[in-house]
Amino acid sequence: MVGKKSQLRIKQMSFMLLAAVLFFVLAGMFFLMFSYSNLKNKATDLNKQQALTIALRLAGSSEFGCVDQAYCIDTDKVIALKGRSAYLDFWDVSAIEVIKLENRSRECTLASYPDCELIKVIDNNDTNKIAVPLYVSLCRKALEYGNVYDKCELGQLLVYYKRI
Amino acid sequence: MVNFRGIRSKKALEMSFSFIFAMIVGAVIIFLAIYFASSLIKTSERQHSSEIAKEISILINPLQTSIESSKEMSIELPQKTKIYDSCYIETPFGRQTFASAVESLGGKYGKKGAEISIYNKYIFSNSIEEGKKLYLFSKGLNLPFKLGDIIIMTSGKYCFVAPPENIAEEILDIKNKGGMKNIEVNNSLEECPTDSTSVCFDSACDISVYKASCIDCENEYDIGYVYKNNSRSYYVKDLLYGAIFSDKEVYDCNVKRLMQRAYQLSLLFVDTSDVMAREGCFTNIDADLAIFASAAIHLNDSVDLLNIRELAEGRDGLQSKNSNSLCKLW
Repeated sequence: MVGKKSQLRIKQMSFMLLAAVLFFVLAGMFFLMFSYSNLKNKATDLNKQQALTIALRLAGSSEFGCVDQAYCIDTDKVIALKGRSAYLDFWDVSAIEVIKLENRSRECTLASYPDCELIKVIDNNDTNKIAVPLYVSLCRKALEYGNVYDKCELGQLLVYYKRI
Repeated sequence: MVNFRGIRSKKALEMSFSFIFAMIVGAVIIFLAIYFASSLIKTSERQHSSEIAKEISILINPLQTSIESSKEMSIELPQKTKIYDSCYIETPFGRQTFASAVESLGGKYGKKGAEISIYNKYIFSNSIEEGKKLYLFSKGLNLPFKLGDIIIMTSGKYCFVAPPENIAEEILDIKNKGGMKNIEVNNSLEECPTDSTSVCFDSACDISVYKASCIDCENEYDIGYVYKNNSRSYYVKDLLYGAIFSDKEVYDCNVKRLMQRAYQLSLLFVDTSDVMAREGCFTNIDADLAIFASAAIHLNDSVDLLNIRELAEGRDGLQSKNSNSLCKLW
């Protein structure tokens, strides 16, 4: 009788311990899930900040900027930059696109340029990406009546960052 | 409750068994709780350090110059922090990594956080910067086109002794804008605070700057070398600041990274000139760009910078050819 009673008490204690361990495991998992989702949000937020600051500075770089003009993108340079694998990770963003503000959005290649609207400069093939848009002036060298001049249009610079 | 009535008593044996069982399991639970709590603290400390390094890398972005000649800022950190700056030469652009460790209770530094890689910035600092406040300033490096921004990051005190006029003006200008409060400009070494690193021009100090002879230079210290810790770092133009404020390893690595950028930009400009030529806009500097690109990518030591400068800004250099061209590339 006493043996059975003690066995029962050990069983009770084991169940109690199992419940306590289960409780702590669940609480720990909940805490980890909460802090992990916080971390993910923070990482996405940092990516967004980075994309925004890069978008604001790209027009000042030698790869994108016009000669002697601030806040302007030289599309002659940008089309030459398109598809250069060396630059894939250089700005640490998901993608960079330059688009003319027109009704059509035909993708540019070296052959079709300048009769096109969208230049996909860099694309890292990230699936979950969000764009930071910025209005810029897009300029290129153009020939008209034997004279070369800077032809400028309004466009958008799109810098994509990855949502984690 | 423990019963000591006798080892032969069944009740006493039963009680002591449950007591021992509870003690062992309790100890295991307490041990696990302490273990998980301490590893959680370590992880969050590491997470915090990683966040600081990432935030610094983002905060540095506005330091990139466009039309302005220089920019300055300071970063106040929540607690005393060590910033680890490492530089790697890799194809195509090399990279710099930043990691930080924050001071915890007892003045000890916690574990280093995750390393954040940066590919498009050139930050000149010591391998380890330590402090609660970081002072930064940046200057664009044009050689002959803009290669990037030289970003100087310091935390220690510096004292410039009798610098040439253009450098003194530049530092005072940055200080007037509220930046680089850790730099002093004095007329003699005696006036420098004892805890500061002295920087002298053409005389021996903690850091000494010596000019090289130059015919077509705008200022007398436009090219030369910086003597520091028994080694020479050659500089051209504003790389002077990089050589003064950074370790030789970081400086040499960043110079090579800048030359990798020069190489890639030269190739890009050759392709751009082909695109412009389709509209009748000719540059005629493709051959010079190819020579410059080859010299840039084959830079072995900072002394080669003097040759690069000659190709870029010498009498028949790239800069003058581009300026005389109908269609400028930069």
